[in-house]
Amino acid sequence: MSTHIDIESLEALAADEAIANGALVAEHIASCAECSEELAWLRSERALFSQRADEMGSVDHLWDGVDERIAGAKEQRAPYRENALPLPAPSRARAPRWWLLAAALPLVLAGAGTFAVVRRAAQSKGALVAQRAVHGTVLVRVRTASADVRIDPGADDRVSVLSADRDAAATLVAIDERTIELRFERTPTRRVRVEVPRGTGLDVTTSSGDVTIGAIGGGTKIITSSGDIEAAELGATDITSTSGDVRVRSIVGSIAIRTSSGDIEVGRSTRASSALLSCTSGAIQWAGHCATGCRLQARSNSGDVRLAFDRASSATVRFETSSGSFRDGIATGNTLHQPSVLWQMGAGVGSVDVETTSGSLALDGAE
Amino acid sequence: MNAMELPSPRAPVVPLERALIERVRAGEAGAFRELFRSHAARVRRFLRNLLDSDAAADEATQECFVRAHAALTGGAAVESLAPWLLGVARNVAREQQRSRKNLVALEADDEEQRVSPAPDPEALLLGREADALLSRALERLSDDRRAALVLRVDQGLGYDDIASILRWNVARVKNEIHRARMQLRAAIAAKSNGPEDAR
Repeated sequence: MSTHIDIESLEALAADEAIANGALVAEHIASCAECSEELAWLRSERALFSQRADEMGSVDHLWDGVDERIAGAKEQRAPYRENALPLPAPSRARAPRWWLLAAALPLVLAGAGTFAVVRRAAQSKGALVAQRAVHGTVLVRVRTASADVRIDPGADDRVSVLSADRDAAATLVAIDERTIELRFERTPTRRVRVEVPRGTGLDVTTSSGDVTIGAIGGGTKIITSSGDIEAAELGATDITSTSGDVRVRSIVGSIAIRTSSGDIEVGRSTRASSALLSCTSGAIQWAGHCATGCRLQARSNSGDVRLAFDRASSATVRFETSSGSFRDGIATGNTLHQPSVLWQMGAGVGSVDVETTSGSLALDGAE
Repeated sequence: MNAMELPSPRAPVVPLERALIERVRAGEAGAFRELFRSHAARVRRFLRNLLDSDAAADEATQECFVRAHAALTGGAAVESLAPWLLGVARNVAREQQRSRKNLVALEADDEEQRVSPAPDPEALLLGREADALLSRALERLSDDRRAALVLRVDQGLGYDDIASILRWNVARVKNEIHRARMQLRAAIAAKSNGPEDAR
């Protein structure tokens, strides 16, 4: 036998299955190093997978979740559940006033048209799975793993949750008077969209899901491992990300953003009494106002730092670096290079400290 | 390797399970649970190998059976349950994988790789990190290639069934599995030869 054994026969042998011409094949393998080697590898692969299979354990615990979801899908339930906070008691029931109903009919029809439009719009964003009326400023807490989270300002004083997952079910649970937590019956796998009143505080944690936030303007805390974060307008902000990038168009208030390899970009910062921008290898970009009471710290090991100050800023910048370069795009003329870079804009009231190992610093003007 | 002509190994007999499918379609209480009991472990193992996370595999397994129930009661044509369920599971896994940003899909090393002699299976199993070793090796494969390998080596599916699940032709299935094996062996050999070689 001069040619080699085909792979399917070797696979069968590795699985201890009988094959045609077994004796002939065995004789060939005994004298062929290449086939013998291939068979040994195939057996090793099988051994590795078999060991893992043995350690998998039972799957019985998964049945309840499947059964519940199948039962839930069968129910003719409303497309969403209302978890409203206590509302005023309904007014006493009255006999219908037909003349009022007749007068209101055009409005009702117009309203129905509007409702249909709203429902269609909502469906395009995902199905509404939970909703709750809120009074005053509240904190909304959202936790997901891989699902992306998008949070936008809503049209009214309600928190609404829309999910792209089929048969998703969630509740908005009041933890205390000011905190509402979004709880899913099962971990969402697709995009979750939340609408909240402007000014709502946000507490979002994801593993790999991206976080996108519209112009909410409330205090915001976000923790993510690898998800990217993009926001339009936030209040005081505290963000921790491992590898995801962080981009915020506008922050009003203090800032603490820490990443490992992710980039940090703050488009416009105002009223930041303290701002900490810290990353290991990511780049940092910050633009905004820094004057009385401002304390800005930017630290990156190998990433470059670019700070852009508006014309009304008054700040002193200290730049410590091992090998990074410095570029003064504003050219104030007030720069000292010994022993570290000391740069001043206006009266130099605000305090800016930049530290890098190899990252460079560029200072520019901002609108 | 020039393959000599031998009859292909006898395909395992796969019962059509037509009666069980019909009972599920008829809404018989307990029928779908019976189907779940018969196949869930296998589906979950497949998903665990694809997703490399117990939690993700649990979640995907549930999603797979919910979809399977909807499809069966909706009249989906199913010839053989196991390959069909694995196909559903594959789709669920793909959706999860798409949303995971930190997957490593290394296909750059498509070139034929020469690897060290196969380690003794017994010795391999003695290693306390055998499972972690397999995880790391699988992690280095692209999603599709990993699925093809797992369907063949762990699930024991025929090349035709794998081609149907992955929507490839059989030649591509064989090619991808061959390349997956080369990558897997390189990773295992590197690990067996010591950490400095594992890079």
